[in-house]
Amino acid sequence: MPSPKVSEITVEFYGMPRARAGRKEIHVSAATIGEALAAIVEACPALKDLRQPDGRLAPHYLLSVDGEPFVVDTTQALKAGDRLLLLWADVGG
Amino acid sequence: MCGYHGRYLRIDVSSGKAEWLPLPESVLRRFIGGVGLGTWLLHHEGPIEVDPLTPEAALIFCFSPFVGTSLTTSAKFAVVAKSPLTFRLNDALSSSHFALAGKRTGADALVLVGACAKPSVLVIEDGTVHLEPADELWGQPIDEATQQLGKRFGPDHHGAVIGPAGEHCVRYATISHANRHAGRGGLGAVMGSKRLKAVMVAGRQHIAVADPAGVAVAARDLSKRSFGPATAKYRELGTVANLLTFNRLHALPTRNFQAGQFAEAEALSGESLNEARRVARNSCAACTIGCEHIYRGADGEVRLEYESLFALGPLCGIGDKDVVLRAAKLCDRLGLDTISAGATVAFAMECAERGLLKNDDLRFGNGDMLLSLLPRIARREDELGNLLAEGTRRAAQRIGGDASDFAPHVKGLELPGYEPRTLQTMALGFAVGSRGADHNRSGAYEADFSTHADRLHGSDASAALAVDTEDRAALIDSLILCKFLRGVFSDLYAESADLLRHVTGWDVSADELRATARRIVTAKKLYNLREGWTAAEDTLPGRFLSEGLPLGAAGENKLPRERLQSMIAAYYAARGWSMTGQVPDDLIERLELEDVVVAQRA
Repeated sequence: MPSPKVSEITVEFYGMPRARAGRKEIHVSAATIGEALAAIVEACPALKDLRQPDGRLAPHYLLSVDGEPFVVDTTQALKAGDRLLLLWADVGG
Repeated sequence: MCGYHGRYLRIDVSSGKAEWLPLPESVLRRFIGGVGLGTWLLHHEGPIEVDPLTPEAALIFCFSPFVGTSLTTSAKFAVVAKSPLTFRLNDALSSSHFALAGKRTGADALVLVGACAKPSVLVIEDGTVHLEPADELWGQPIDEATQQLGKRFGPDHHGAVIGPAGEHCVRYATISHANRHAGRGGLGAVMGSKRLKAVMVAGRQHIAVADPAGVAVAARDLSKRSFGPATAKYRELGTVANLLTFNRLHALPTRNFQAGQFAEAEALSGESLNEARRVARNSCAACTIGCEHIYRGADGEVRLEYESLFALGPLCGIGDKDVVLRAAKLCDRLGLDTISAGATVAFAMECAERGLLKNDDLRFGNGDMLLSLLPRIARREDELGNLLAEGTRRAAQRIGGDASDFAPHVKGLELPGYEPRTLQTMALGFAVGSRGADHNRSGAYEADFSTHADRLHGSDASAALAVDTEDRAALIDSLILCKFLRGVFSDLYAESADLLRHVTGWDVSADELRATARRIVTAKKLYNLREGWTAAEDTLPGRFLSEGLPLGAAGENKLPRERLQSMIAAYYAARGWSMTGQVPDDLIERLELEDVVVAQRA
């Protein structure tokens, strides 16, 4: 199976992720969700708890591609122009 | 008995006569306290088919076994009555020193019936009761009345107070203590109909816990966990941070639920408010979270939560944060539920824009109109204020035409800030909720904001998620702990059983508490059934089932009527109820609810 192609994507931050990152959005290059997570941590060290030791998304975060159902599969491929939404899991209240 | 006094105080405020009545352990263990115990009491103390604004109706203040312990967020109380807005069971929570002092009166609950001949203050001191005149307080906003009551009674007394909205029996009036409100369903109107401006409590009757060392260890552990990521949002940003997230997900109710995104959301966002206006952060008594974020407005400082922000902002098409802050402060002072107030004004704005109401100024985005309407509603000052004081369901019936299709309520209770077409597990929670459209008794949005559900396409699988969140809420609201703490529990039932065991000495288990939660939810349903509930009430307004919600380039998202009906049927099945939502006799027996049904038949 061919490796997914590296694409330019935009990461939007909401709630606690925005407060910690100190910005509304960043642009990163990534082929998969997992690579995007790594790129986010590198660009925003305040989000160092974003990933669990095995690379999965930490339980107090949520991820969605363009507002679609929330994703946890770090191997999911991304495509150019995707907008990855990073939320705090405790939405609502 | 540990954790409880084992009795409640029934007060007829017509005469001032008070009577102690026992609360046996068999009742307390089945219903715990707070909302659960309040439900049991309402079954026994509330006359069948009573008009909630007549003297015969009961107004119940309920404490819990955890009140007065060192467990974080436990200084809470429930207020339970038949709602003048929904004519169904209504329970609302508030917190802080009223709970602590109320339990120190020696009662696990206060049941108020009757009505005073003139405006009064009910004073309960260590179990003795008297009434004092409240003539000079009647008509005053809550903050001013609270200040005067503080001067009159001193720091040992704590009050639950109504504002002008309660006095005028506005059907969504609140009861306030320390600027936190038992907000939903019009409990302030029930208190106002009894001509009670305030209930003041004081006492020195402390109660023992079964295992003081165990409670201390558990309290330290819970406090420590309350500083973790599960509560970070509430502590650092407040619930106002929801606004931008919801907006991005097309879940922010806008212009009376005509859209799920608001063009001015960024300017009104929690982030913007926190940067420009936040001046302080407070907490309730006995709380380590500290979720109250205070903002600077033109009329002084005001506490703001997401629900007030959405209802007085985007729902009314208003993007001016000064208007929203002023409106929120007005609601707090007048004693208006911000959700129902904002929703009723937004509904009226749409009626006017459609020509169903004749008023050229009543338009989305008109902040001056919102600010002028709130006092008129609270005091029922004129024809429009009086109409809107009735809430959206009754207002729609009077306005006529197709107004009922877009009146945003379930069972009469206005929807909170969650768009049901893009949060479809929450849509089910709204439809079946015992007190109407409600995000506190059903936190089904948690499933929508997770990987467990497809929030855009509800299904029969949503039923189990909705049941689970209702059950968890029933337990938390009966213990009582703050729901903002819910994320710190890895196993709510097992950990709650440990806490309850330390406090009461009962050999309670997680499975027992699961059954308790189901019992409480079904007891609420049984109350509604006795008051005339039919399955036709478990639905959403026509708009949500016939109009798609615009999603921009992605088209629109729909919640077809058939899908919701199928989800509701699955929910009834998951609860063990019949296809028409009735509670079978064998389930009543299994849940040990026979005494509730006997009270009902008596």
